[in-house]
Amino acid sequence: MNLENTQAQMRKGILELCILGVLGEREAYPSEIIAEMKQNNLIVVEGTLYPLLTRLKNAGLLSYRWQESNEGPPRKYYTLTEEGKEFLKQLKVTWAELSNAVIKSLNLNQDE
Amino acid sequence: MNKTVSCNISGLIFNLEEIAYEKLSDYLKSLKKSLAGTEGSDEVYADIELRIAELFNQKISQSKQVIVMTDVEEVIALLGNPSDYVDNEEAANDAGEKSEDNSKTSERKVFMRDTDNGVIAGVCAGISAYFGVDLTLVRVLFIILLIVPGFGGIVYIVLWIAAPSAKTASEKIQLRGEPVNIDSIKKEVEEAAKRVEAYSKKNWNATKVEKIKDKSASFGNWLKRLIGLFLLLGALFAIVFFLIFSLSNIGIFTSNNGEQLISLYAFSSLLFTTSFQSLLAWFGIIGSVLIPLVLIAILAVRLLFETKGAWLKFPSLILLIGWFFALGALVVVGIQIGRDFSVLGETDESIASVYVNELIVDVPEMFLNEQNSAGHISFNGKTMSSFIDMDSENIRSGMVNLRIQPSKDSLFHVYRERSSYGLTYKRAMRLAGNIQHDMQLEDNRLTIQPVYTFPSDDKLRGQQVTILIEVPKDKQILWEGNKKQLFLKDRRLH
Repeated sequence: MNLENTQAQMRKGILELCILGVLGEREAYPSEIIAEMKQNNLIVVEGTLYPLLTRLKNAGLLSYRWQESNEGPPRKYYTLTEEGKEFLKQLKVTWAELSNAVIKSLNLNQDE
Repeated sequence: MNKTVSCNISGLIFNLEEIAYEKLSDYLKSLKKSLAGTEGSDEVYADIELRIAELFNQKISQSKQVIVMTDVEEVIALLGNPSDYVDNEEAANDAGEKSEDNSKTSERKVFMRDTDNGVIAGVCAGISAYFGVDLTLVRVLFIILLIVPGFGGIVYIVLWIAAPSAKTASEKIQLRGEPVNIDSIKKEVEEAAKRVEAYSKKNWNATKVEKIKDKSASFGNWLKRLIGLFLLLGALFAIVFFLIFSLSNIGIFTSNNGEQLISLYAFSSLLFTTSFQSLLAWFGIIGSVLIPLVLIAILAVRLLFETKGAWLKFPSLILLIGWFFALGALVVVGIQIGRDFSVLGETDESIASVYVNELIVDVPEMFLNEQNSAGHISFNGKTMSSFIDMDSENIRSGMVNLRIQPSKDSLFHVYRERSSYGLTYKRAMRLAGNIQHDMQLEDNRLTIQPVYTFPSDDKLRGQQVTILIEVPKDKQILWEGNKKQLFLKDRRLH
């Protein structure tokens, strides 16, 4: 089993939640989302984001609007739809339960 | 000094070093390949191009106007290798979801005969249920398909014009009914990639690549245009000819002796009783011939000028509906006229009974009323076995039928039978009675006019005159004049 691959898969799994999380705070265009995620070390390569955004948008969780930019090409600003907000709420609950359970079962707290 | 290449990325113009350009071009190619078949691949591709433009834009300044190799490498490192973020697993999942969705709506349907709703065995009802089309429509189409030859060709042409062609990989797969899964998409994408590769080397701009892909079969294009040109010329030629012959007064029934003959228009006035019926018939005739020709012309224009033809869909549909109506009109008129031929009425009269040794039968030369006639129609011009000649009041028709039988006694018996068809027996008998025919017996000379007339208002309803001559044993008929002008039904006795 490849460690890097497993790590990539784990990140990928929670990436959707994180994108929704960022957009739950405010409207943002991809570069902003990327910047935020890079800070938290969630994204290794930027390209990962674009297929996910498209998928979430097609699923009706996101919508976007175009806005002209002074420094470069126009930008797609994404926001959560009502459905997306509800989705995020549910995911947050699930995540809280899940992370608790994982932390407990791995005894992460005691190790440190 | 390095050569630079100018290119358009998401609407912004950048100058790239040639090697940087090659690198970026390769990257985008592999990106496109990886994305092929995944959800929203075009959109994701456009998004990433947009991001590249944004990143490049940040690297450009007054003092630095050219994107160099290190810039491209940085951008690629930032975005990551396409195979890292477009994984097959995701694509496979998406494809799996899609095919499940499809199966809900169509794939689980099974084509079966619907005996509950059927008339005969429920085949049409089954087709209707399977495709979700109205049952009556299916039946009407089925009946038309049965009756009208060449209908399939018309439908093919209309569908050619109206239906979009399968262009994307998943459409082509759906076309063949293969399940949309990663394997089938991969196969299709690989084939498409090969085609695209040849063109994308020099120009990787997404829209241009697609345009070139569409035109890749340039020989096929020329062939299409050539066929289009021929079709168009042929169709226009046929339309003009049809209009000339149907609407003008030119005879279309030709004869061997090249006489001026009756036009289709004049002929129609011999057949139709009311002007409405005539109108209906003309609509039917012109519509059913002209509309397919126009459809062919439309198709030809599409082939010739390579227009998408979306704006032609609606007129084509209208034309098709018009064609159905024209066929319908023909059927209605056909039934109406056909009903007028449903009953045969005959009037028999005994003309004479004479006791002579030989009967001289004289058939005068036929007289054609050339000056006043609107034209005449002649079937089988050589022997003039039948013809129609008309003026404003009367229709003159030939030939009189002649039947010769043995007599039961020692007398020559001459009978005349006039017959006609009609909607009712009464009507048929009246039409038969309206037939005027001249024949005279003077001593032993019987003069039979070969032509008979009836009023134009009676129309052509199969009016016929038959002369029956009964010949006693050991006696004979002596022929004078042009016996050939009579239509011999039975063999003459010696």
